[in-house]
Amino acid sequence: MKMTLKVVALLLAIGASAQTIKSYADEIASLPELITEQETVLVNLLNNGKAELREGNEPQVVLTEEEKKELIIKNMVHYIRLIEGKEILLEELQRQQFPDLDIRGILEGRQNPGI
Amino acid sequence: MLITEAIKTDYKKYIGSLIMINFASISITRWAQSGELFFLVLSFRDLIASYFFAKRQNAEVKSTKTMAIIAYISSGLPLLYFSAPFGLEIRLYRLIADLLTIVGFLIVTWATIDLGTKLGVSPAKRGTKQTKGLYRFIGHPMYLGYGIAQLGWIFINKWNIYIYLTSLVLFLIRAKSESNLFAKDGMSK
Repeated sequence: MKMTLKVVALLLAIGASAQTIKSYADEIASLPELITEQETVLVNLLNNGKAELREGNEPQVVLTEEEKKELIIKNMVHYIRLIEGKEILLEELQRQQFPDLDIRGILEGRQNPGI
Repeated sequence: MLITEAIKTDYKKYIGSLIMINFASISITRWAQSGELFFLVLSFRDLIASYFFAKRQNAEVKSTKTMAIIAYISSGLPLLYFSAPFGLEIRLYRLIADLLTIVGFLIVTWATIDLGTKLGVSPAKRGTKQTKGLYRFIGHPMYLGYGIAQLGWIFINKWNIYIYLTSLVLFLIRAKSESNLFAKDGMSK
């Protein structure tokens, strides 16, 4: 009886392990396509400012600025998840530096507000 | 440590059995929802533990209340493990953690089967010391299984190392207490 229970437990564990490994492999295999799709969504959002949400004959959805911002941020986070950029994101947030911003332009703008 | 107590009716075994049935129900529900076989492993173990709890031998020698509290804290400690920061997991780490959990719980299940009606949370002497199955090779295979299962949490969130080390220390304390129960009982005969 005990040996039967042990065998059942072993078979369940082997099945669970196989399932876990297969899920991982499937996810890795589909990753390039998912990343490409997400990049397309982000580019559309940033360029057009409208979400391509229509299906079939449904009218295109027009977003407000706030909705657009929210959608961009959510999709960016999803993209960062896909490319596993978590560590870099957290480092950037903790450092609170934005090297790609035009700091000179911002400072000059403050000095010459254009009034 | 003080280790003797009068023999009482072991009503707690039925409470333990009911608790394990509840855990098994939750695991089966999670399996039905997600299709992940890991939950079936968990529920299988919980059902076995539930059965053996209900059939448990009476304790001839029990540990102190302090030791019992330590044992229950040790059992509940895994509930404190942190998830990945902001839910952002690294896939490979998630895979490693999942596989360690499956292997760990397999060992725990085997140890539960081997222990049978001697099963308990807080250290106690129930009949002779188990020396068959996994217990032939390792003194405390259940703690080894839990240790392996919980190791994966360090991959998910680095701050879990502190909870993990605390867990290991508590396992060592429990293992020492259990060994002492048998050692002192052997000397008193």
